[in-house]
Amino acid sequence: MKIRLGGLREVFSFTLRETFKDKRYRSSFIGMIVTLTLMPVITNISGLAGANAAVSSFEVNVSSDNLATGQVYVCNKTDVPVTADDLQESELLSALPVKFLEDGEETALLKELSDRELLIIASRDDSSGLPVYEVSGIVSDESEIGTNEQESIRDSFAEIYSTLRYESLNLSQSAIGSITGGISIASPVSEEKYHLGDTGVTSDELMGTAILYAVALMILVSLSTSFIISSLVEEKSSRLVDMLITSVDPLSLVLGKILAMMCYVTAVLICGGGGALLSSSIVKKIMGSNSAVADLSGIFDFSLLMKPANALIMLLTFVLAYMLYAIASGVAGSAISNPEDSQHAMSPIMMLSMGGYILATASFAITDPTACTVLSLIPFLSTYIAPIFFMGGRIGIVVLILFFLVNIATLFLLALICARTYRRLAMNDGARVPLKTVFRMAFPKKEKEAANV
Amino acid sequence: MSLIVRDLSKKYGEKTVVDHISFEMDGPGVYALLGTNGAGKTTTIRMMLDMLEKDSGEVLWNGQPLSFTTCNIGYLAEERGLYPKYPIIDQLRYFAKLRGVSDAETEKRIKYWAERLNVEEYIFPGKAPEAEKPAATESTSEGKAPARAFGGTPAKKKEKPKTPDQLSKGNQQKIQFMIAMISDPELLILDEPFSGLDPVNSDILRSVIHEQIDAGKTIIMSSHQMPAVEEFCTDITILHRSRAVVSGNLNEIKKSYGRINLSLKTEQDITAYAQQVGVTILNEKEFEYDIRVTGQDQALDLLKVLVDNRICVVRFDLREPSLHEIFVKEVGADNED
Repeated sequence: MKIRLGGLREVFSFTLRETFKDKRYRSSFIGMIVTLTLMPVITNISGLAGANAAVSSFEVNVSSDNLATGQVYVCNKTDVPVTADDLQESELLSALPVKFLEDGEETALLKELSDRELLIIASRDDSSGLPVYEVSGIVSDESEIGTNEQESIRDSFAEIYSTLRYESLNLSQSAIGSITGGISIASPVSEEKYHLGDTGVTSDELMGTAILYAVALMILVSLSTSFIISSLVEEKSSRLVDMLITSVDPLSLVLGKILAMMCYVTAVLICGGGGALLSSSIVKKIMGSNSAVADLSGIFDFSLLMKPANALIMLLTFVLAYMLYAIASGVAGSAISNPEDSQHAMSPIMMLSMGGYILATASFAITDPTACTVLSLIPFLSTYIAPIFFMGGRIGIVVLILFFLVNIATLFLLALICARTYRRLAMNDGARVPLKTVFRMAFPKKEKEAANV
Repeated sequence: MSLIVRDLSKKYGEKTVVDHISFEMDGPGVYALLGTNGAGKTTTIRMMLDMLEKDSGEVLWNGQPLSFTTCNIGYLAEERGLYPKYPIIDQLRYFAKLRGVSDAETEKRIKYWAERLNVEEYIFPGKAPEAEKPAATESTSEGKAPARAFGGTPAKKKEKPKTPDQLSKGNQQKIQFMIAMISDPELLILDEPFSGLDPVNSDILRSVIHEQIDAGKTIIMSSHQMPAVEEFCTDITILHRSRAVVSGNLNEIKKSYGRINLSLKTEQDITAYAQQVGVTILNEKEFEYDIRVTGQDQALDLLKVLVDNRICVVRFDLREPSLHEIFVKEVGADNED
C-alpha cells in the first residue's frame, strides 16, 4: 500500500489556525501558560513556611541589612582567645556593635538585657573527662530579635570560634580543612557495578537529567495525547469526516491534526517554560537564596545536558518519543467516535508513558548491563530511559543506534496502521473499536479480508 | 465522460448490505439511487467514493478507478456535518484549498454561491441580505442621508464571523452544498439533498441542480422524494434489501409497466360501467375518477362503453405509473418512508 501525504500541509495549517482561534483551546493555552509561569511563585508561597522551618534547622542566612539586633555581648569563659578583629571575618557580626564581657559580668547583664540585645556565651565543660565546648545565645523574654537572626548571629560566632579553637591547638589550615571536611559514605556495590559507574558521571548528575527529561516528556505526552484524541473525536462526531476523506488522504488528515496539536502543546510548553524561568528568576531576585526555587536548583544537577553530544541525543530522543506517543494517540483516537470514550482511548497511551516515567526516575539505580540493554530496546518505554543509560555509560553506542532503529520502525508501523485503517475507522460511528481489531484491520489475514468494522 | 459501477458488494459479518450492484452512465445526466432506509444506497455511494472497502466490484471514471485524484468530485453526505465552532468562511476556504482551488477563484466561488444560495449574511457577517439593504437614495425622516463611512458603505460595527452552531439546520445544509460545489466538480454525488430543507430552499436547490445539469455535469443522487427524482433523473436503480430490483432508463422502466393509470372526468356517475368493464376505481370525487386498468385495451373498452351510453367524457388521461407507484410496487408499501 502506498503512503500518500497530499493535503497534509493544508490540514496542518487549518487545524493549527483554528485551534488558536477556538475560544476553548485559547483559554486552555492561556490557562496552562499562566499555571506554568506561576509555578515557581506558588512553590515559594506554599513552601515558604515549611522551607523556613526546615532551612533554619541547618543554616540560616540573614542579611546584614535591616537587623533587629542593636547590641551583641560576648562572654568567653574558655581558654580559646577571641578578639573583636576575629569577629570581623563574619559579615553579620562585623555589621553589629559587639562588646566583650569578662567572666561573671554576664550575670548582672542577664537581669537587664533589653529587647534588642543578644548575649553569646562560650563555655567549656570538663565534667565528662574530655572537654566539651558550647556556644549559646541568650535574649530577653520580650526580645524583638527574630529566631533566624538570633541563630545566625550565634552560628556565625560559633563558626569563628571553632576555627580559633583548632588554631589554638597549632593545627595548619589544611589540617583544619581536613578535619571539618567530613566523609561521604557510599553504599557497598559489587565490583562489576563499581566499574560500570566509573564513567565520570555522578548519580546526582544522572538523576537530575533523568528527572528533568522524564518530567518534560511526561507533561508533553499527557497534554498532547488528550488534545490529539479530542481533536480527532471532535472531527468524527461532527460527521465532517465523510466529506474530508473524499478530499484528502486519510493519513494526511490524521497526521495533519497530530502535528498541529503537537505544535499547540509545544507552544504551551515553550511559553509556559519561558514564563516559569522568568518568574523563577524574579522570585530568586526578590527572595534571594531563601527561595524554594533556589533550593531546587541546588538539589538537581543538570550539568550532563551541558555537553553538546548529550544535548543532541536528548533532543533527538525527545522528538522521536513525542512523535511516537502522538501517532499512537492518533491510532487510539481514530478507534473511538464519542467523546465519552476518550478516557478508554487515552488509557493505554498513558499507561505506557507512566511506565516509562517510573523507569526513568529509577534509571540511575538500574545498573545491570543486560537489564539496561533489554529496557533500551522496548518501544515506547525505552524513549524515557535509553538516553539516560547512554549518558551513564550503561549502554553503548550500538545499543543506542538499535534503540533509535526500533522506535523509528515502530513509528512507521503506526503510520502504516493509520493509513490503512483511518478511512474505515472514520466511517465507524458506533462503539469503540478495540485496538486488536484495529491491528487486524491493518494487517488482515487473507481469508478474513472482508472483516467488518 | 463515463461512469461504470460494476458488481459492488459489501458484507458486514454475515449480513450482506450491498449485493452485486451495477449501473453505468455514458454521459452527463442525473442517476438516482432509490430505496428504503437500510436498502444500501449510502453504503453504495461510500464504496463508490472509496470511503468503504469493497468486498467485490469496481467503480471506473473514464476507465480509471474513481477517486478524488482521478476525478473532481463534489459530495454532499447524508450525515451533515461542519466544524461547529469554526468560522464558516474558514471552512469553505479550507475545503477549496484541499481541492486545489486557487485563492482568487475560491473567493469568487464563495461569493457566487453565497449569493446563489442566499447565505451571504452568514458568510460575510455585517452584509445584510438584498431585501434588507437600504436603498442608495434612502433618506431619514428629516430628509438627511443616513450616516456613512468613507467609501459610501454604511458605518457599522465589525461583526464576528459566524460559526455553524449559529445557523439553522437548513442553512448548515446549504453551506455543505457550497462545500460540495466549491471545486466546481465534474461528478456531483448528492446523498438525500432535499432532506431537512423547507419548500423555499428546496426550490433554490432544485434550480441549482437544473443549472448543473445544463452545465453538463454528472450527478448521482439518492433521495426519498420521488417527484424530485422524476424531475431530474433519466436513469434509476431501486434498491431493496441490498439488491437492485429495478434498474435502467426511467422512461423505459415506466413503459415496461404499461399505461395503467386512467384519470377520468365525466358529467355523470360511471360506477356501474366501470364494474361492467372490470376496472378498479381507486378514487372518486364529484365525477372525477382515478382508475386502475390492466392496459390500454381495457381503458379503450371503458371509453367505448361510456360513449355508447352517451356519458359525457370531459377528460380521458391514460398514463404510465408514477415513480412513486413503481417504487411502492417494487419494495412494498409497508417499507416506504
